[in-house]
Amino acid sequence: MTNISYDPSKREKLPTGERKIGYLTIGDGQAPVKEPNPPLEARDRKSLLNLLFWLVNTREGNDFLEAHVPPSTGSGTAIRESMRTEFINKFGILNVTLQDALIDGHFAATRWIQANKDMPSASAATAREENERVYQQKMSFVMWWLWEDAMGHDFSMLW
Amino acid sequence: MTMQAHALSVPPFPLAGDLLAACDVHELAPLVDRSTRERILQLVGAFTLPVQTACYECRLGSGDSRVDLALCVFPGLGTSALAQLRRDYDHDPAWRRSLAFLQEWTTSQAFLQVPFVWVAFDLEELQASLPPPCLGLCVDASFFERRLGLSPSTQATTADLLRLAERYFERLHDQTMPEDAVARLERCLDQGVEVKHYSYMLGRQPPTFKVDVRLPVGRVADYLGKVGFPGHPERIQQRIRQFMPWEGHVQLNLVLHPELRGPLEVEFMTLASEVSETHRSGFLAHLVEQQLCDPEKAAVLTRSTRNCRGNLPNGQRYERGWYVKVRFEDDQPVEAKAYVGLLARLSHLL
Repeated sequence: MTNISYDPSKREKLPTGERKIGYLTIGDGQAPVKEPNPPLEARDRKSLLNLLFWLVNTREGNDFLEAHVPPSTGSGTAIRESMRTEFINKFGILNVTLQDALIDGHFAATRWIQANKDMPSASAATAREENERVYQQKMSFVMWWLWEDAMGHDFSMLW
Repeated sequence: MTMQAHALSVPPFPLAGDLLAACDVHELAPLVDRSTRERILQLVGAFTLPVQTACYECRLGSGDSRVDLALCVFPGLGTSALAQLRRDYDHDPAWRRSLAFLQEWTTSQAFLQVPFVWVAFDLEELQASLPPPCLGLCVDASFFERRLGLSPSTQATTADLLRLAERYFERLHDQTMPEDAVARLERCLDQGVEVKHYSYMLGRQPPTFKVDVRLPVGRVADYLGKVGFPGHPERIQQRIRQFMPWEGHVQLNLVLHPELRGPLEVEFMTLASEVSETHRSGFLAHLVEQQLCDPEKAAVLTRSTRNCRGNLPNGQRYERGWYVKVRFEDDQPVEAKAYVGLLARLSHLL
């Protein structure tokens, strides 16, 4: 069962009209999903796919990203480590390369938005372009990871 | 970390030794025979960085048991493991430069231009320790996008790629890239091909630089003619088509430094999704017919296509994949080598 909860405090007025920000919550439905062996729920709670869904679609995940805004410059070591710890503990993402790609992508996206707000200065244009490159590279890496996973033999074993 | 904690997780990349040890000797012999496997396992124990793929480079000819090794590393190598390696190999200038490069690459934005790196070793029969590596830098910045079937959002210009080659040439070979080598590279980049790797072969004398380009098989003659490769491009292409009668791509490994010269190395079937099992079996049959491949070794590759997975001791899965490189002297194929990769699966453990 999926519910969408809207957050009025995050309503924005856009030139094209009003937009509401919503988050998904997922609970047990009337007809439970047929469980494969081993149980699907346990397997999928610790996965990249689950983490991405959480970050993008749930209120908790959005709040997590907002609580981990990177500094405008520099490595943001403390924030990186905090994100890394959450990825490990909550989603079992033990692979450092993947952790870094997720964090770098988040940092680049946040910095892109700030640069976009600072336009049209020349430095903002450069920052926007640089962060767009980083974001594209990191996100395509994360998507490749999912693709590799899906194309492996393990994936078909779930059907 | 306990096994229980590992059991539901996205695991780290394994060590090369663990990945290679997971593939039993019976699965790859005689492609990799028992003594060669043991020797490589012993040597690779010194390489303590995590790898995404460990690749045996196996000569396919009868009676030729030589096997080289290539390891694919991604950023996030781990500073303590890298620091230990730097201490271990500090006495060797080529190693020192290689590891300094890896250190800088893994901790900087160099990942944007070089998404991953192959660390390859030419191994002799009586090799007592790992020789200085040959570093193969993936310079296809859009590698992941291409694998997803997307059009690259940004494309490196020829000028960007030349700058990259020169910078790393100086860093790794400890000398300025000669102007004639730069000019040769520019000709190779300027022909509308996909540029895949730069290889800085520190383990060879003289130090060698190669570029790998990917292009449609029907364009080989035209391309070789334009870059000035010695020999008869049309005849080379005809010979290549005998191995690969289907349409698709090949990868050419072109030696550019110290000079542009043969033999020409042609890699077939590097992209698994482009090749069917029928293509593979026809290709292997032709190799055997040309006496470039021992029938028993061909049988191992055929088995690897059909039964290509296994487990590491911690439960993590790996898969096997392979492609073949053929060396041509003029237009004559003289040697074939299979690249048998053991790829750590990325998914959680079962």
